[in-house]
Amino acid sequence: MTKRNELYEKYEQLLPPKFEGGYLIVVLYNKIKNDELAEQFTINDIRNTLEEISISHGEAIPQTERILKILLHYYIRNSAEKPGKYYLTDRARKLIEFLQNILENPYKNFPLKESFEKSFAISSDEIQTISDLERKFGRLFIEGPKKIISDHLEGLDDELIDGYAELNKILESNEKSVTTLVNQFTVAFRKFGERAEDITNSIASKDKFLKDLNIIVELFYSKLDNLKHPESQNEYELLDQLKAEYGKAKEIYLDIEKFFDTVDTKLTNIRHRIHNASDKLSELHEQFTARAHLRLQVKRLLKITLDNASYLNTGILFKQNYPLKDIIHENTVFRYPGHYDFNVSQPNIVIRIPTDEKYKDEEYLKIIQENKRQETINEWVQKAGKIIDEYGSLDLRDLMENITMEEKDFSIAYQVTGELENEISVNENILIHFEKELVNIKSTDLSIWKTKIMKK
Amino acid sequence: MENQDNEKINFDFLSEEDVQKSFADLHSCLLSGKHICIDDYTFFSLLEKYERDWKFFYRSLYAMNLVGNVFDRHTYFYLDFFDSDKGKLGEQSRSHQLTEIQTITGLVLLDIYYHRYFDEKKVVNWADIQNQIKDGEYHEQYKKLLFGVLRDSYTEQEWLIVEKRFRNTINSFNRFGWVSIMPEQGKDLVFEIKPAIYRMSKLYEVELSDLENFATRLTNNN
Repeated sequence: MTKRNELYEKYEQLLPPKFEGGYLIVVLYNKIKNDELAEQFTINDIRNTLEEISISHGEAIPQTERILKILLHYYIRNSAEKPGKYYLTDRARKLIEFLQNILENPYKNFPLKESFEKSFAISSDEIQTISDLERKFGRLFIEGPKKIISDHLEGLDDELIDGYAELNKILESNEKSVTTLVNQFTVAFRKFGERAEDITNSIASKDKFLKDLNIIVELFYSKLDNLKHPESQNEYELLDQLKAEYGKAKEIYLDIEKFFDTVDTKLTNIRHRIHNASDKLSELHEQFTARAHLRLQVKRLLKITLDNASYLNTGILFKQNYPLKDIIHENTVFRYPGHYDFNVSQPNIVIRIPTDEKYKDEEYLKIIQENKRQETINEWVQKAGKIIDEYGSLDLRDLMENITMEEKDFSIAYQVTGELENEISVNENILIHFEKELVNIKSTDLSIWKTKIMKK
Repeated sequence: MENQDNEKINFDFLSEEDVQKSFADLHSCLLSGKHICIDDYTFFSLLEKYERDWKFFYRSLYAMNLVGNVFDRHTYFYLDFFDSDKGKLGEQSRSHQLTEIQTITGLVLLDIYYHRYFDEKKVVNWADIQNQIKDGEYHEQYKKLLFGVLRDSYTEQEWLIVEKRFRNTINSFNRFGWVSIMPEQGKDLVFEIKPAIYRMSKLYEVELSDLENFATRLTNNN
């Protein structure tokens, strides 16, 4: 945490802003390199240089002492031998070389494959012991080769970004001849094609290297594996040693594998970008004129539109006959008052079900039939009453047989009997007479006691 | 021949499970004017799978045209009126007329799209737009239209108003599916221009086909 705070506090001394010493170091470095200035320079040299910088950038001249104070921390030192003289520190030189390196990546023009093969290759019999392996690929020794590859990839990336800018620029130019345009594109694009091939080759050599390295790791393992079960103290020591060697070899392998994973990710990105540009290029071949033409047309339409617009306090206004366009816009809103009950009374919606005519007729018929039945029963009950009145007695079997015959429905006869018995049982003048003799009712399988209903 | 084709198309696709699952959302999305590209994967794949059926559905029931357009190798779908007929959504309340600022912004974004044609993603932020206004090719016109006066610099307050207006426009374009606002950028407005911005040149197709005539007509009538 403290270290980080220190970085913040000393940031301006570490990376001085351009007019606070930043440009000064660059110009001093260049002057020394071009022999315009001795390695050891005076405060006047510094003052003059500061003046030159300010004039050429149109800035006020800063106070030399203040700037010197900033730079004296890391970038400029007092000469011990020659008082009043100053020199640029190694750090200052390194910083400028580092910055130049970013701009002119030295790996830009080298094939990636070569860098790979130089840094990551195993020749036969080169590695016999674990020390050989560590010296060649151990974490400390491999930092350099790793950096070469990383720098290389960065260079490649920068190059592609520049390539893209170039392609966009060609598309934008007002050049109308298709042949010229396509030619320009092809030149800009050739670089992409070469890079794609280089990357494919590099991946192949990288894979081969990992395979070779793995064989070596396996060798250490087989040494361990072939050891017979230890018995003596010496044998135990040998086992521990072989174990440690295998562990180290494995660690080296994993470290490099991990590094290659990051390389893979970067290469995938770069390849993806190349493919994308390649797709666009083939598309452009087909319809280049139309596309470039349309782009110019859109620009002109924008210009016409702007020419026909004027400022309003609340926005922009087009001249009257500038056509505004419609697009579809219908907001469908679904409301689900799931979580809230606002106590809104819900209207009672009556759902009208259409009449089922068939069902209605059937039910109607049933009612009529039932009505009719009741009427028939009533008629028979009254008829029976009259018979009793007129003739003084009535044989129940005769009555039931008559009804069954006429109505073709025994249940009516049965119900009439029931009704009749109900009525006469409250009438004291009428008597029901049973005989314990079973009589069968015709055309049914029913028998009743012989029953007579008679007046007293 | 056409009739025969039509006979095969019907509304049966509406009873497919995948259609039923997303119908309501997709339908209201299209009606709201959104342009659907592959980023809305579920909707996009449904439209692609049953394209002929959807087209039939919207033509028969809404008298509208479901368009599948390709620009810069990307397809996007949207609902449009048939020529000279606004279909069943023809009422004022059911269509949206692009405002002046939306029209200008749309054309500017289309121009930027072409400008960055070779970039894989056309990502733009407020600072890019601000630069266009300050130093772009049409900076004088932009300044006059947005601030009302031509000056070398404008106050923070003035910029705030312009930024707010622009932000609103981009929000509406986000709803149309013409841009996609990147949410992880916090307070700063960062968005990607989608290929569907090409709809702007579809809307002005007639004018673009004969710009000379269009320009003359505007000058004469004013």
